[in-house]
Amino acid sequence: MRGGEGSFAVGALEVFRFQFEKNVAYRNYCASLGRSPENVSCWREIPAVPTDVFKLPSTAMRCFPEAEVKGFFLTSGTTLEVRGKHEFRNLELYEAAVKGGWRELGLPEIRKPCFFSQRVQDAPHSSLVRMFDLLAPMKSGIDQDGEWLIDSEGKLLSEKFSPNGTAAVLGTSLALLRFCEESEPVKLLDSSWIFETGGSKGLRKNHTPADVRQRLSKHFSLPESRILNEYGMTELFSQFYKWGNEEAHQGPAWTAIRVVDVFSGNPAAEGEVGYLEIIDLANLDTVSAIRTQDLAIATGERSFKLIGRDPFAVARGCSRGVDALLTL
Amino acid sequence: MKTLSERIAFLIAQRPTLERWVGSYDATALSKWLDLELGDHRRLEQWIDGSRVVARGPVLHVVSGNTEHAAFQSVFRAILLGCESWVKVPSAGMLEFERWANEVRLFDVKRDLPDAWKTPEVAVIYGGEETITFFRDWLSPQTRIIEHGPKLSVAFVFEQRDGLEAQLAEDVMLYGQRGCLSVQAIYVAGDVEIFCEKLAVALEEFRPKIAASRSEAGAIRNARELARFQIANGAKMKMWESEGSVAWTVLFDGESALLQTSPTGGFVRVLPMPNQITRETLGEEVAFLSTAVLEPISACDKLDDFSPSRICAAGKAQEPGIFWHADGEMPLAGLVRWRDLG
Repeated sequence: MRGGEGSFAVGALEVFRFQFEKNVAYRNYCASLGRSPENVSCWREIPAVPTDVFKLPSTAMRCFPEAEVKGFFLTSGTTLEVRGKHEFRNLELYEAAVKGGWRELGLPEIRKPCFFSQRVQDAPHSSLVRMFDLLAPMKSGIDQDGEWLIDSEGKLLSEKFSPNGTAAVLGTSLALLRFCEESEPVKLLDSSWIFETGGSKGLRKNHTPADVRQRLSKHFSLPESRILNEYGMTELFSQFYKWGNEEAHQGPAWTAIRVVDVFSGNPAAEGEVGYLEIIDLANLDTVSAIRTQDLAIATGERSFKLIGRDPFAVARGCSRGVDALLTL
Repeated sequence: MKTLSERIAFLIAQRPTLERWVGSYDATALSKWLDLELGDHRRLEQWIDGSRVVARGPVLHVVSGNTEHAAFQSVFRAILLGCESWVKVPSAGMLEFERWANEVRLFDVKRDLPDAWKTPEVAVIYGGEETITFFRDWLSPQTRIIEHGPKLSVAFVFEQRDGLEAQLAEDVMLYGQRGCLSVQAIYVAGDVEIFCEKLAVALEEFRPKIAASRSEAGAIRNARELARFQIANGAKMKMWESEGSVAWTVLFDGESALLQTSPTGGFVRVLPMPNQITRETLGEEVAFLSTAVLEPISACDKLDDFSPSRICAAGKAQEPGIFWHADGEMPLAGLVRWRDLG
């Protein structure tokens, strides 16, 4: 248990103290809630900010001065939508979180990767593309950095997909499903595996996570247990993973999760559905405690069963508000 | 029911059930409505001045599930004209409408979507963007589609008066703020904070009759925390909220005049009235405006720049009645085909 002791608990409070001191906007928010390092004694009490604070143009969510900003990631969205901005002064911690999390969770070595993704130079503000770029050289014995199957214009290069031997196929659910729509089924070796992440918004039909797994499993002739789902977001430097035959997403040791009862605002009872909050100590330079817009059930201190957007939500009808709520 | 008089008699007999959903009506009003949209109601059955009309059909009605009004109103129009109807209700059902449909047995109602329904002559679709997109793809290219996509409603208060806040509370809260006619934002001239305080009291007294869903509650809590974050960082905002629940929220937002959707479930954004009420000052969301609640109603010329399809008085947003031009369309005219002689 990490409730009040242990390296995570101690580290989380240290990070909170650091961010309270350095991140002015976060400090102001905590102060408005009456919270400070003086009265927060456990990581469970660290105030979480909604992801939308990264979309506020006039509020810097960082612990360092603007002059030190070396780059930023943007959340996905159309040109008309306000996109969240995660600024950084270097990517060392991001790289450590991506690679360290991969290793710690025992995920497979990446050989002969096929990325259904643009290259990092084509999408410099995508945290996912950067992640793929970081993962690409992790393979051993292969001197190429893998196949990149979306060109600089965003066109899917289905014809270039030519897996040879054990393949690692990585991409967004959207890109992989588009490939399934456009190409004939492919028989991958049993030792191959697929990494998929994100929703299917943008396709003619929305797919549930189970639909996505089934579709990919069928198209690539792989059991669902060889399909790895990533739960991540631009606002977080760390990622959570689960294989298709597992129930819960698991995060690395420097993360923790909380589930909040949406009606009362209090911690959800054990086994109950609520909104997912994540504490990611790799978010050292911004804010570590993030309130997501996803529903989940806690299955451990750093694992959760993802429900996603409320499947029992009111029927999406003629209301623009309800439509926006369920489409986000 | 082959004749118009039989159909009108049927609708009159059904008034005890239907008036709750379509507003009040009588035989004269129905004939007059047909006269307005068809030139002469007799055209449904005979040549008048060289023209007559034929009810299109089958008509597929795809109705949204957040309130039952669209289902009753859409089918009401089809019955009046004599269209054959198929009705797709949400998979979770639409209890009152289904119960009534089962009693009158005039049309098919299904929760699923059989392939046999791919080729109606007309489809009237109420729903979100995803629903509309799906049906555009699913239906035969020969089907005429009448779309009622997602909308929101707004109030403009040029003059404050006693009792106004209670009426606006009803415009916000009725049906859980889930309908396209539910007010999601209020523009206010004069002292906005005092208005907000009174509105908060009215919302507390009204209290929602429909509990927020988990998604709504979560979105409301996120919106509240975002506002709290902005307020803590100096934004010109102030928030009033129900204690210990997500029953209602009033957010005074002095940062921007741009119209935004609310998380629904009793969350209303109150904004200072801009000097110019135009598409530019209200922003892109105004393209989705359904109803503008206006106080006083005599100020309707002030909204001419973006011409909302419906303007009504406070307290009337949710009950447009059957005779309105939903989304600016003549609802009967789209369900008939004209024939000309000569």
